[in-house]
This record gives sequence, structure tokens and C-alpha cells, in this order.
Amino acid sequence: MTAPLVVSALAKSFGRHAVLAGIDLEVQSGETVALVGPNGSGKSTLLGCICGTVIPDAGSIHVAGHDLFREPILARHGLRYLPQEVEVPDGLTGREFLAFYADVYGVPEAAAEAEARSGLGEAIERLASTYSVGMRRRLGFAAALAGLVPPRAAGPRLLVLDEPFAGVDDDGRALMRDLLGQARRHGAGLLVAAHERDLRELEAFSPRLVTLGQDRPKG
Amino acid sequence: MAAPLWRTVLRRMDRGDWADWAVPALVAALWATLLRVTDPAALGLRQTLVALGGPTVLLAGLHARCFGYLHAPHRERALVLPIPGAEHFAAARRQHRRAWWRSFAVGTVALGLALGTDLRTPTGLGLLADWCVFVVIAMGVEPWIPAVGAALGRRFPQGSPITALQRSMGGGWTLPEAVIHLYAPALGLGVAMALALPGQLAIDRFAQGLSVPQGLVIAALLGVLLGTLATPLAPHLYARGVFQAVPFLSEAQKTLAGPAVPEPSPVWLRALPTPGLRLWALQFVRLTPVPTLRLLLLVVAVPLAWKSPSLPLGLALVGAASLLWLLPARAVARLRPARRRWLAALPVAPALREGRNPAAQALLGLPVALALLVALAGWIRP
Repeated sequence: MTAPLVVSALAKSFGRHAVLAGIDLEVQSGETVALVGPNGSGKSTLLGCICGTVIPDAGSIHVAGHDLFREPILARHGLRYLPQEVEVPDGLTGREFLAFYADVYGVPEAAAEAEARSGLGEAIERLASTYSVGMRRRLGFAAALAGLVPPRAAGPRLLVLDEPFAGVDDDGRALMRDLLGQARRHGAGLLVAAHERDLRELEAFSPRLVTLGQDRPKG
Repeated sequence: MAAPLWRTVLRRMDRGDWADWAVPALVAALWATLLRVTDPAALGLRQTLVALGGPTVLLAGLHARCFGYLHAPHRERALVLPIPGAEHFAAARRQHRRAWWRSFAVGTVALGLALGTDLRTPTGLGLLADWCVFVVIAMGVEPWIPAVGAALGRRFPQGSPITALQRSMGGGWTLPEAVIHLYAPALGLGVAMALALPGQLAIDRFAQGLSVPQGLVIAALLGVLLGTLATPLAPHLYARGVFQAVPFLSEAQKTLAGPAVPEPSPVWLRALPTPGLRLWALQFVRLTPVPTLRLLLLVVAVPLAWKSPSLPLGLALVGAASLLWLLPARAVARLRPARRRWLAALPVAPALREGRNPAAQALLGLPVALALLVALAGWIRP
């Protein structure tokens, strides 16, 4: 079966500073991989490369069996991303934001369940730009899972999460844990950039740890 | 000695906006069209049109010109810093002055197009001088609008006559402290008109070869002196109230705006073929002011341009209406970096992932292209 994510010999430098060098990584269906490492170790850069927001210097990335650069649309159909800071476009309500996501992934019927899953209640009708950090995260999480839990389309799926529990209250964390568990049971691979606190939240998923930046001097 | 860095930064926060010249430009084009179609022999009517049209042109951009003093979000944010009120005034005043020059320029060009060869006659020059006298006095009076707004936009002790006035003039539907901002702009321009009137009357009599009474000359000079020489006092008045007036005004705006639940998205949006286009159109509808009215103005400008007796004037009319339709879309264009970050990981077309949206640009330009085509057809008709 095709793995949700296969990264081979990935390299990325900013000027002379090599942030990633020869990274190989695979995430299988139903597996949880936690990316750990100190600040500046390249976690966000690696996630950026996988999501197409950062262009690597060398290497290849296959998402759901599709080359991220040769088949960008197909690869992105297999990818869901929750960034550390959820960007909400100006002028859209929470409901419209979720409807847009569901529409883009070709599962418009998933918008209503994403709305219920967000737990935002009546605030879903408000402009998303007025939401607090925690509310934005809930919204981003619900958007990322639209059509993924339960799955609306066949094929492998990768869920990429950048410090998903930051700024979320206890109820929100419990909800997110539950939904991540469901996504995993439905066969999605989870790739999580994590700090220590996030690792505690992920314990139930027995994550495989991948440590970045070990060979670099600290301080 | 170089200005401190904070002053430079503070002044950079106040930047010009399309509204401070595009809206006056459209009003000026309409004003010029109206002047152009009046009979040159009807001098009284033309003088009235100049006396009323000038203030209308300035009124159209007044809020945008004075926005930086009390209304701008960056002003509210900067108030947490230990910066004297007069510095805030100076920062906003720079932008105000630039915007005033832009309004003056569009008004003068419009008047020049309307009067045409009449400018070679004393009466034509008199009309131009009427406009100039009013604009100069208005520039002196306008800084008093935020100054009085700041001074009276504070909370006064219970029982004070100002508190009673704030309550009675607000009618209970906004904060009493913010009531002054409903009246100050019109009052300010009204004062400028009143101060300019003796000067305009004196100029008109002189242009017609009539004698100018000494009393009228003194009144005209007093008007100009009062309007311009008292301006340096405005920052002091502003500084007394700005730290209270800005938070009260902001609170009043939030209260008036109600909860952040927008109007439902228009039904026609569903007819657009792609999610990217629907997203752009929704942002355009929500983030640009009165889009339907702006489109309507463009539609109305076309027959007016068609009928216009002067090609440059018709062009100015359609051009101003087109700019008014297009320029606010910069609010959506400015979101490009955010859109790029947001859409990069989504399965959308490459152009959209880069934050561009060619289909949306075409949709935006379509009414302008149609308006120009129709107007051109009118001008080249036999």
C-alpha cells in the first residue's frame, strides 16, 4: 500500500546555513511520527517543504504516492495541514472558511460536520478574523479534518500538524486527541512537530520519534 | 539635528488612501459636468454652483483626510506609548496636508475643464478665485475638526453643561462622548463656507466690474485671517483630549458595528465557477466599501459621459468612476502574502497558490472595459 508520505534525501539551506541535509522520512498509514528537536532545528522548515510552502534545494517528496512538485494538485489532495499559526482570511466567517476548505478538497458535504466538530457554536457565524488564538486553532483543525474523518475519498492521507496543542484549552485538547485518534484509525498518517508538552498529549498514539538537529551545536 | 526614530515611525504610520482623492475626483468630475452644461450667461447660477460645489468636493474626502487624527487603528495602538498628543497631531497633519493638496488639484483641474475658454474672462477667473479662497480657508479650518472632536470627545463631570449637551445631541443611540464626531465635520466645513463667503462676494463684484464696499473687503480679510491664522492653536486643543477621545470613539464604533456577524454572502457568488474566484469575490464584497454603490456610480457615469459636451470632461468622469470602482480592490490585493501562505498547502491552481487570481482581475476589470467601450462609442458617434 502507498505510504502517505515518503521524503528522500531532502536538503534545504538559507544562504550558507544548511537547515536540512539528507533527510529521509516515511510515514505509514495509521502511524504517528513526532518530529522533535530544539528551536531552530528545522522542524518548521521540514513541514514547510512537505506542505509546499518552502521549496527544497534537493530531494523528493511524495504525498499519497504523488510527487509534490510534478503533481501538485493530486499530492495536495492527500495532504491536510494545521500550521502553528492558523491564518484566517479577512472577510470570511468561520462557516465560510470551513465551506471553502470542504469545497477545495471536493467534499462540500463535509462542511456541516466540520462546523459541528469545531465546537465554535454561534461564533461560527462571526468573522473568523475576530477569533482568539484558541478558536482559530479549533477552526483550523476542523478545516484540516474536513472530509478526512470520516473519510470521503479513497487513498492514503497525511495529516501534518505544527505544534497542534499550543494555545488550546483542556476541552479543546481532549477533542483534538479524540479526532486525531479517529483520523489514525481511518488510516491517516500523522506527522506532528512537537514540543515536550505535545508529546504527552500524543502518548496514547505511541508516536515514533524523529529528532532533528542533533548534530548541531546548541546555544 | 535628526528627528528621533519614534517620530519618523509615527509619521510613517499615517499614509494616504485612495478615498482621499478618488472620491473627491468623481465628485469634482460631476460638479464640472454640471457647470459645463449651464449657460455661461447665467453667472449667478454658476457662482452658486461654485460656492456649493467646492464644499461638496472637499466634504467628499474630508473623512479620509482627517482619518489619521482620531479614527485610525494605528492611532489607538500608538496611544499606549508616552508620546505627546501634539506629536500625534503633527503626524496626522502631514498626511492631511498632502490629501488637501490632492483635493485642491482635482477640484482645480475639474473647474478648469468646466470653464474652458471662459477662464480668459474676468468672470471665469473670478469663479476660479472663489474656489481658491474657499479651499485655502478650509485648509485652515479643517484641523479644528479633530481638535474640537478630541477636546469635546472626553468625559466631563456630571452636571457639566457639556455633559448635558453630549447626551441631548446623541439621542441615546451612541456614546455621549462620541456625539461630537457626528457634528464636527459638517460644522467645520460650514464655518469655512461662512468665512469664505465675504471674500467670494467681493471677488464676484470685482470680476463683474462693480464697486466693492469697504465693509465687504474688511469682512473678507477677517474671514481669511480667522480661517488661517488660528490654525496653530488646534494642536493644543487636540492634545488636551486625544488620550480620552480616541478610546471613546473606538468604543462607539464597535458598539455601532455590533457583533462581528456579517451580512450573508450574496446569492450570485454561488454562480462563480471555482472556489478561488468565490473566495476572492466574497473578500471583495466584504472588504471594500459599498461595492454595489460604486458599480452603480460607474454605470451612471457612462450616459453622463456619452452626453458630455467635452471629451476630456467625459473621460474624466468615466476615469474617476472607474478608479473608484478599482482602487478599493487594493484591500484584497494587499492580502496576497497572507493568501499565499494560506493556500500553499491546498489543492488549488498554481496561480492561486501564489496568491494571484487572474480570473478575479478579469472580473474586476470587465465593468471598466465595458464602460470605456460604451463611452467611446458615444464620442465617435456621427
